[in-house]
Amino acid sequence: MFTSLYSPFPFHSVYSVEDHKKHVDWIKTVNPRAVVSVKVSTPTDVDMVAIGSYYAGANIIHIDGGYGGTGAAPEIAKKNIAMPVEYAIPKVHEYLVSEGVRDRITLMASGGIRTADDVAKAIALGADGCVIGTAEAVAVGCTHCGNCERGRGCQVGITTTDPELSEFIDPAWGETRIVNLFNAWSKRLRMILVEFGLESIRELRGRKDLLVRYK
Amino acid sequence: MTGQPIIDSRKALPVPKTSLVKQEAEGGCGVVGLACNVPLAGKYLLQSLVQMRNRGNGKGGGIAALGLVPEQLGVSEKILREDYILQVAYLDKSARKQVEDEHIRPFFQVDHESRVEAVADYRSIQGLEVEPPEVYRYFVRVKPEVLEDFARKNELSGHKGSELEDEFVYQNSYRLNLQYYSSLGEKKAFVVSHGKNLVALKLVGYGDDVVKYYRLEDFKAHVWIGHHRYPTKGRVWHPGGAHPFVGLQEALVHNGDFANYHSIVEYLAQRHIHPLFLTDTEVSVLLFDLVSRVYKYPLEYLIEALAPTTERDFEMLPDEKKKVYRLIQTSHIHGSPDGPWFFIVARNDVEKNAWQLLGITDTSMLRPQVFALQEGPIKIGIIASERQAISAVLGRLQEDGKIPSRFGDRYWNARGGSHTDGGAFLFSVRDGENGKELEASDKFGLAITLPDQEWLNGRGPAVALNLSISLQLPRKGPPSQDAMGFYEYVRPAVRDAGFQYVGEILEELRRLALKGQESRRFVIESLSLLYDRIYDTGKKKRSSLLQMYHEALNDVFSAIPSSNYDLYYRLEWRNRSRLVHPGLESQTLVVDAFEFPIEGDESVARFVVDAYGEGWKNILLYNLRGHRFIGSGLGPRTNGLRIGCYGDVGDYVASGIDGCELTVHGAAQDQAAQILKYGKLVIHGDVGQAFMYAAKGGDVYVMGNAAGRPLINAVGRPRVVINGTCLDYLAESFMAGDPHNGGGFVVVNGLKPSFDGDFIEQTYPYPGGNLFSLASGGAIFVRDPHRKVSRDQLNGGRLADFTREDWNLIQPYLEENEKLFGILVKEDLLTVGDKVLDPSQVYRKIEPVSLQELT
Repeated sequence: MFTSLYSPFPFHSVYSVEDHKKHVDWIKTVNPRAVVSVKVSTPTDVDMVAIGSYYAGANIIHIDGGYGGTGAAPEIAKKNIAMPVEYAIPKVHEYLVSEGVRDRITLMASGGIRTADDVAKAIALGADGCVIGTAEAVAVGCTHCGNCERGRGCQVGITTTDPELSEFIDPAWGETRIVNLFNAWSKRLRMILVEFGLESIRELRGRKDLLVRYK
Repeated sequence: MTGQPIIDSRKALPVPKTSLVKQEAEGGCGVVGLACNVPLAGKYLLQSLVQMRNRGNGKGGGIAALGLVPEQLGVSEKILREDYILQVAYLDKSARKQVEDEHIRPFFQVDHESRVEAVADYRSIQGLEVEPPEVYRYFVRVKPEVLEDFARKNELSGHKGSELEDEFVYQNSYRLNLQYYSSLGEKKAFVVSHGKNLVALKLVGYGDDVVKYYRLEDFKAHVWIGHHRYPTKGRVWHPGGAHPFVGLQEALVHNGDFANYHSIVEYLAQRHIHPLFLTDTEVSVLLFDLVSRVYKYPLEYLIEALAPTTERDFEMLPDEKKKVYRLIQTSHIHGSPDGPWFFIVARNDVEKNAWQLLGITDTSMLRPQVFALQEGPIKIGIIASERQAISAVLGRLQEDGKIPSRFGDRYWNARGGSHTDGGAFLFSVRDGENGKELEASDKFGLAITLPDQEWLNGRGPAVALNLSISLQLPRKGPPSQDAMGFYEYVRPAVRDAGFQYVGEILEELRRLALKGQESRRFVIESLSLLYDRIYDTGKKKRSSLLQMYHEALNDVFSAIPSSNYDLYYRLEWRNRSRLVHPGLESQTLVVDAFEFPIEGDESVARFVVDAYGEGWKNILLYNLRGHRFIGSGLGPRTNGLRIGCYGDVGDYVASGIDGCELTVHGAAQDQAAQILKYGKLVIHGDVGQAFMYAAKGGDVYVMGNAAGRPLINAVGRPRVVINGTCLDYLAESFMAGDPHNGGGFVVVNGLKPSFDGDFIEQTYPYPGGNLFSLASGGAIFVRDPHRKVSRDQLNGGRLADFTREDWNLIQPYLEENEKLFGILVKEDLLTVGDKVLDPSQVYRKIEPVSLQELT
């Protein structure tokens, strides 16, 4: 269904998994107490990437699926790169379980996770948690115009260091908006847990059986 | 005879039912190889493998040995020369009889057979979790009637006997592997190697575990290759997936990962070759065997088939070569591995009676590699992923008294896919007038030579030190402390005298160092100058002198006490808990790194951080053996801190430094000075891959060459002088602003030291095809009086006039460069031929072209 691309790699000091391991070793030398999170996109062999990162010493593997996107990615690429995160999460989760190392590494997922239900689904598929991008930006007023990387492109003042544009957002106001977002989410997540009789969100991890596919 | 009949004969072979999907994936590995004109014991491979453990994860390791000693195998010289050494690894011991009855006894005349020696209990080797297979070694020839039958059935009667026999052995092993080692089924046995005078062994563990488990410490061979694997898939790792893989007469180890595995598998399938172990490396050696044995390409064309010359390098080839290479590329492009890879191959060229060690690198130079050559009582060539692995081999040989020095006579990197060296080098062991000889050459057959100089051969009787030197010593020493004056004074003696005399000078220095702390400082500085600088060494090999200086420095360092009132305070692993703050502001902490772990929380790099935290501002490290990350973790604003490194520095040295001054007395390795922010870095040698990646600043001086991709993605204000040159991809995506307005630049002088101690021009000041690609800031100043750098080497940059303003910018750095390395601005840099030219006639500037915004 999917074919992996071998696309040019911008980090010219890392061309193989042992180079990656060397970088992780380096970070841990700089700060032995550092928690290392490795963010990767989701190729067809994302499970191998995950186990390679585990052996490289990563504490967290953060898989970023195809429905996410940076403001700066070209349109043609944005929605057409990598495996949707719904496929990638169980693939990585189940593989790590079969390798016997699932509880030695934390699995975070991102890529189009926009509602509390999405978070619950991601966890039910096998993630330990989610990284939220666009939803938080929208919470503070992002209108999804896609001009993030331009110096004076963000009309709402979020993705800018321009002194004038950054005046548009009041950090205190932004703080309340984000707190509201996560409060609302936590309420919804509790509702979900109550419905399934679960005591903690941790118990939801890997509970694919609780997911239903609409035909 | 064409190879087609042989290929056709393989049609009859059964095809595996396994899927074509790679079952095992890996990217990483550490590889090493050595070749010598005398047989060397396996223990010399051991240390280099141990030091490269961080490149593997213990899930696969192996070695191969070529050019063996008949007595050690229990056979005659004739049998060793003529028989195939069929080695079968039995994962299921009970399968042996059946395997022998089905695949060995009926076809082969077995001249000798034995079980390969191994330790009694695998668990006695720390870290070995999986029991290695039991290996049986059979010396065989194909029965004549079997061979006739084989020839007749496959219409191969026109072929030479040896070719037929080779092919039969190959096909027979394939059948054995298919039946007893299917990747989806029960694994019972597999053929580990089956070439002549060649053995390979592998297991689930590290490469050095193989040497220990199969008791190869004293096993001798002329050529060795070794490997650590870093596989990432599969819970149960099978030894069959470890490297090396064997074609027929060659064994191959591989660092890297292919993108076009399927393409290669299909290419091979069209020739009725089916991989069974489903890794990249297996198909590599199958390709190698196909092109070498079946197609009978000479080595140069074989290398071209695997690693095609492309882009600008192709254009630079002579027309004759272009025609042939184009044909080769057209035929073989689908069978050429794409992606990062570096191969080391041990090959028995039976026809030419040569034992070969080859290193071949991919055309984008994505994997690191280093080559070295030393000539003395023995001649040895070494290839490795890392330079410190080479030092480990030579160091061990020197300690055992087999060679005079732990330093090679020459070190170099291959420039993948290049028209200059072909990205491949070869060490060949052949019969010579007095026994075996070792020759080194590149892809095109050009020999790598060493000048005829003497090596250190015992110390000899003590020689009375020339009176004038003895008198000079007290004068140059304290209180004048003129180490540079002493160095200049003693240079002629070092050039003209013999080793004994130099030894005497060093003895005097050792004695002087014991006289007091000021004397000690003078001696350390003088010895460092002798060690770092380039000068005429007369008839004596520099590598031998370096050994003497190295020992003298170590003796002087080791004699330092742990006293609070001396200029120096020495600590080592055993008494490291005695680290306290310095007694005097100017006190230097001297650390013997030898027993410190190379990496991790207890590493010498972390110890340096602790020492800095205690207030030390001067730190000197010696006896480094590949210790990694030195200079990392010091934190911001380390101005005033000075670190000196003696020995074999590991990777990532000076990465992330912000203010301190770090000096490497010798070469640095890969990933040096990553994200360096501010400070001074001096390297008295070469640097490896990805030097100063994403650096933000720094005043950096490199005596030698940089490998691939230096200063990529660097920003801000790095100011770098590289006295040698780079492989390619210098300063790609450089973003260092306006050099005349606080921005950064790189000066490339394109020089190298001659064996006479002069600095001479390299053939090309910059040989690659991707200079300053896609840069948006900064500039490159290249010393190019003969206008060799051309526009087709640029990619988004342009050649501009070198102005007086430019000279005023770089001159202070070149003057500092002169102070550090003795490379004289006027005589070495601005002199071309015998004339001193204006800087604008010598230097050229490459500046970025402003790029359109990507919308």
